[in-house]
Parts: sequence; C-alpha cells; structure tokens
Amino acid sequence: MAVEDRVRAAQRGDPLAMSALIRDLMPWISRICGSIALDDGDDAAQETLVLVLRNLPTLREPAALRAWVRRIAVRESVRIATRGRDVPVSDVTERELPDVDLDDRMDVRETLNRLPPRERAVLALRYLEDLSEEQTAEVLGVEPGTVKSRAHRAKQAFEERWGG
Amino acid sequence: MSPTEAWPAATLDGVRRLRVLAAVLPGVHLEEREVDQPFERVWAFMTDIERNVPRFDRDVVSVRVTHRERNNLRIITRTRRGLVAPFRVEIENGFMLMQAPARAYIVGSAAHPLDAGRTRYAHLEGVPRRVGRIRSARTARHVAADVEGIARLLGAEE
Repeated sequence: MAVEDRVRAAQRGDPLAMSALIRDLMPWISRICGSIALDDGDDAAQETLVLVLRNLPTLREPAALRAWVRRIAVRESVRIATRGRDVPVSDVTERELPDVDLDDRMDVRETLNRLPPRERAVLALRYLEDLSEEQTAEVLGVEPGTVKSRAHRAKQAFEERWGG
Repeated sequence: MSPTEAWPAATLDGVRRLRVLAAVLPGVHLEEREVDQPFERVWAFMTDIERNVPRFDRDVVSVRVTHRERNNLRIITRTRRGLVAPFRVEIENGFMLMQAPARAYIVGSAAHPLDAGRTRYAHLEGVPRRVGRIRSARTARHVAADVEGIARLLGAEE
C-alpha cells in the first residue's frame, strides 16, 4: 500500500494502517527524537506518534505528512527534554556551541548532551533533516537569524569531522 | 560510519507501539505484565496462534490459519457462542496485530526483553471505536483474564 493510501486508511481509523504508519515513520522519527531528547528519546517518540495518530484526521494533504510529523516530533522532543526545567529561548540562542571534536558516535552524543534541547533541535533540523535556516526557523517558531548564529558554528564543527 | 548513523536514535519497541495504539483507539484495553520468562519463549508462545490462543482466551474454541505469506496471516476464529470471525494478522518480532473485517475487533500482542531473562508483555483487545462503560469494563476483564492465562501457561510449561 502506498504511503498516501496508508495515511487515508489511518485517518479513517484503521488500526492495521495506523500500525504500519508507525512502522514506516519510526526509523526517521527515532533520529529526530533521539538527537533532541537524548535519554528521553523513547518517550518523545512514543508521545510524538500518539499526537500524530490522534491528529491525523486534521491533515488534509497526505503529501504534507513528513513536514507535519517533523514539526510534531521536534516540538514534542523539546517539550519532553525541557519538562521540569526553565530554559528561556533567549538564553539558549545567545550561547556559543562548545568546541568539541566529533570523532565518533560518543562524541556526537557528547556534543549534543552539552547543548540545551532547543539548540539540539537546530542541529537536528539543519544536519539530520538538511533543512535551510529559514525552514528550521519556521519549524521552531524563531527568527532565521537565531538559527543562523547557532548553525554557523555547528556547521564548522560538523563539516570538519564529516567532510560535508 | 555516516554522519546520520552517529546521531543518537530513540527506539520504539513493540510494547511502546502497542501503547501508542491504545492511546488513540477508543474502546480497546491494554494490560502489561512482567513475565519471568525469556523473550524468545514468550514470543514463540504468542505466535503459535493456532495452539495457544484457545488455551488462554476463554471465548475462543479454535483458531485456524487459512493463508500465510511471510509475516501476514489470515485466520479463522471460532468462539464458544458459535461465532466465526476471520482476522488479518501481521506479525513482527515482538509485535503482532490481528484485525477483524470492518474493524469489528482487534487483538494486539507485544513483548520486549528485560534484564535477567524477564520479559515485558503487553496485550490489547477491543472494538476500536467508542463503546459504552459496560462493554469497556467487559473488555478490561477479558484482557486481564487473557494476560493471567498467558502468564499461567508460560509458567506451567517451564
């Protein structure tokens, strides 16, 4: 079944279609949620999928699924990663990224671990999702300049390591 | 290692996947239990549908697999009241979902390995649409009885 047909069936409340949609979306969502929510990534992925399926009937155009799910996954990951913590956007966006070498999986995690969730979201959207600064800003609901200042340092660090 | 592979990834095991469905499908009931049996044994038991479903489900007399294509099955169940119902079944490692035509009923099973040879088992059943309180309570009792039966049989067959 094509993804669009699966979305339509899931919108009608078909449990097998919902289950298949979860299976299709999960490998992709797992990277977004894992990179932003880190140790809470499993909870973020679960809550993202609950919101996606619960609100699926409001999605008019199945072709827009990916952008719609991405926005939910990012916002839910940031929410879960910051629950119980006060993390003002202005504080987050004015700090510099730490200088670290991204040698391997542990260093990527270590790099992310030093950042607040909203900065991790910028990195995930720019480098995992390959979104532009404008698209990243739109997903996060911030000004493009805010994304630009964070992305510049991150781009340098990541390209030094990965040769991007 | 590609840059993408180096980034942390969340996981959604079968139990969490069943929790997602339970959260969005009205009329179904989910029950979870830790079982003192290894995952492989629990999952082999659950996926032997023809043999084991009639043993733990008090309403089911027989299950017959009529079609099997890799992880997709078609089965016919017969209940004690004489109802005959076909189900589509999809099986993955640690996750299984059965659905009757017209979404009249669904059954879900999931298992996830824990430490020390234990397993978290989750069981979901019900009519996936809004139902009244009496039916909802009946479904909850039925699911609890199924999980009790599964745990008892797994323990008895050690």
